[in-house]
Amino acid sequence: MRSRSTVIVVILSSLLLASASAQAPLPYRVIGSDGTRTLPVVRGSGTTDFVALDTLARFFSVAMREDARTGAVVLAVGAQRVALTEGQATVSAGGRLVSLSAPVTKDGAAWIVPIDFLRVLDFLLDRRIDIRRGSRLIVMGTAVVPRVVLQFERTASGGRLVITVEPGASSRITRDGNLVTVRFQADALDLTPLAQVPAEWLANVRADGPALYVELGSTVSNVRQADAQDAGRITLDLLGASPVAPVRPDPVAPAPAIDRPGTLRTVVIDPGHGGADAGSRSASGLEEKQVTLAVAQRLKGMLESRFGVRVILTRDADADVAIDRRAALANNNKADVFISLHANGSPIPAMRGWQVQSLDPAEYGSSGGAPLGGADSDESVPVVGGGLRVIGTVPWRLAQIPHADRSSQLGGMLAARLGEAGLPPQAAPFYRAPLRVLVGANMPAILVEMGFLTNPADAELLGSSAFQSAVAEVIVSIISELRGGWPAPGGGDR
Amino acid sequence: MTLTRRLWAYIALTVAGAALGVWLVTLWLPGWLVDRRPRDGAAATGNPAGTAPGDARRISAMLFYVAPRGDGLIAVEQDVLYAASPADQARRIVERQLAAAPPGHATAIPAGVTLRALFLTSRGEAYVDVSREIVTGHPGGSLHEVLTVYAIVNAVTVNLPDVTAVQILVDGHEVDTLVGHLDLRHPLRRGTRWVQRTP
Repeated sequence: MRSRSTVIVVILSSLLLASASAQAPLPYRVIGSDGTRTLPVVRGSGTTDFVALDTLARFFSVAMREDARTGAVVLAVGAQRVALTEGQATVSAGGRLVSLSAPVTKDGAAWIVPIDFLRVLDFLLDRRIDIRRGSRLIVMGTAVVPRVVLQFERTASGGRLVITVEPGASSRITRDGNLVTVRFQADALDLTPLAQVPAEWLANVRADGPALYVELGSTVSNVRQADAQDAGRITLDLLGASPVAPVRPDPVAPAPAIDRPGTLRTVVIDPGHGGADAGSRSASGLEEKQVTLAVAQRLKGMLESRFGVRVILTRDADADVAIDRRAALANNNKADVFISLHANGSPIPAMRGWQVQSLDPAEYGSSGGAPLGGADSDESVPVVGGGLRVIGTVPWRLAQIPHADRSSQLGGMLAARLGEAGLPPQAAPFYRAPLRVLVGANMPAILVEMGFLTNPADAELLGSSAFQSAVAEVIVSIISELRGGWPAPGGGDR
Repeated sequence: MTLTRRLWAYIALTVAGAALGVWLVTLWLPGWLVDRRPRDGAAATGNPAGTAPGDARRISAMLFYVAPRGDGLIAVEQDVLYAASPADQARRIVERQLAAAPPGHATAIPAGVTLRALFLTSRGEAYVDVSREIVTGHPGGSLHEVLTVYAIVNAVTVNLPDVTAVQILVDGHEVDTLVGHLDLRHPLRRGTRWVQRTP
């Protein structure tokens, strides 16, 4: 009996220990121009991480002393003082009160502070300290740590790896056997790995310091850089050992008689602006609302005649359309894709080129302060025959959030295809932003800026039917590809 | 001179003297006092709350202007008048950001935009209420709108570390966007990715 109790206690203890170790938060990598160090995390919560104050003091060579009279701990930063009090979520820094995301606590003799206390040191030390909680990075001083996002897509000739670097950094690409190395002029890389990598094309992709290592899969016989050297984007075409069946049907092929089930059926094209809202304007008086409508109408004609796809325009004349109505039209018609067309403007007349954008969900996420409320929640609804069923709900105004990854994928695909068409891109051809017209769309959605009306060369292009047709053809080719299904699995959008 | 005429003369003199006294106290004296105030920066901007008359102390603030290529912002260090409270300091910074760009730089803010009000919340959010010229004078384009918005958001959040997000209001009202692109219905966090390193 006694031995059985002992066994149970041991098992329970093991489970508790395993549970504790499984929940131990990952440390931060602190990257400065002088190298990389590790900042241990004492504990984490849903909204912040906590670190030991004495560790931070050592990191930043800051003197720390406890004031026995007031019970506070004081950090001396140059001529300024930072006072912290147990249980307080504010600190006095250089005579100002700064709020923290959580109160300062004590664990025995150790003082524990939320990670955003680094912002106080950032301010007092006059030294950039960038906290990237998602990737467990702290970037300090002049260290250069660009964010690197990977996208893989299938093409007719094999596969394509698109490496987006933000901010852009120059790089050198070398190949040794099945290992391709992209070495950036940076101190380290903030890599967002591919969610699902087809092993036959990419065996592994990893970052080490400023280098990105791409291990090619067994199917790849050759690698070719598909675009000109661009600090913000690298496209590698992975060519197969044997010809593969083309994924993309010929855009001029006759339309199939009947849509296959599960394929793309409805596209909503949003010609930006309209009516009293002319949008940007060229020196010669060409208005954004005219260009967007012209391209949208061309696009509608091409898609309907070639593929029999149902195409809905949010406006088919020079009319005011409320911004919410544009996404609502797409939602109510159960559109598979929403594309908003625009023409850009800049205070710098030399600025030109196209750009593709998708929604930045971080601006709406809980880690970012959830300004509009929670992104989703569960709700119990009664069902026929009694009982309740729990369904996941997404607020209408945040409908785009679950589709953000697929929208980003769509944006990447279109940006790559526009590049192939020989149109001049901007330095950052694809980026995410909190875009009002996209946030309510309950399907993959992107915004395309076709060029700058404030640039004379772009304005001339935007006004020409040849250019408008060229842009429409590129979008048609993407829609054509999507009719066969999304190139890479995952996402769970629909 | 008869007694009656002399009496009327005294009354006239007394009334004239009283009128002169009232004019001196209500009109001339305040103007004279204003003219004697030091001609420093605080007085020149109307001495807003938070700065004592004659206090010309300045802080160095990072303000944001259009990068030479036009595809982002660059941070430029500028002197801004000191204010005692964070809200007043934020006002000073935003007013400077809305003003014309220093020589050699281009601003993303349309001409004529003025700061109507600015207030801070205990949650570290700033509400910046600007005049309608930010909409009516905006030439349009999503990139230009991004630069306009993040010039203001970054000017506040970078210089005041306890402010983590900024919502832009126009003529006292919440707006969907400035010119049709960026979602302004909630406070935006610092957008450092729009900021390029200066060479």
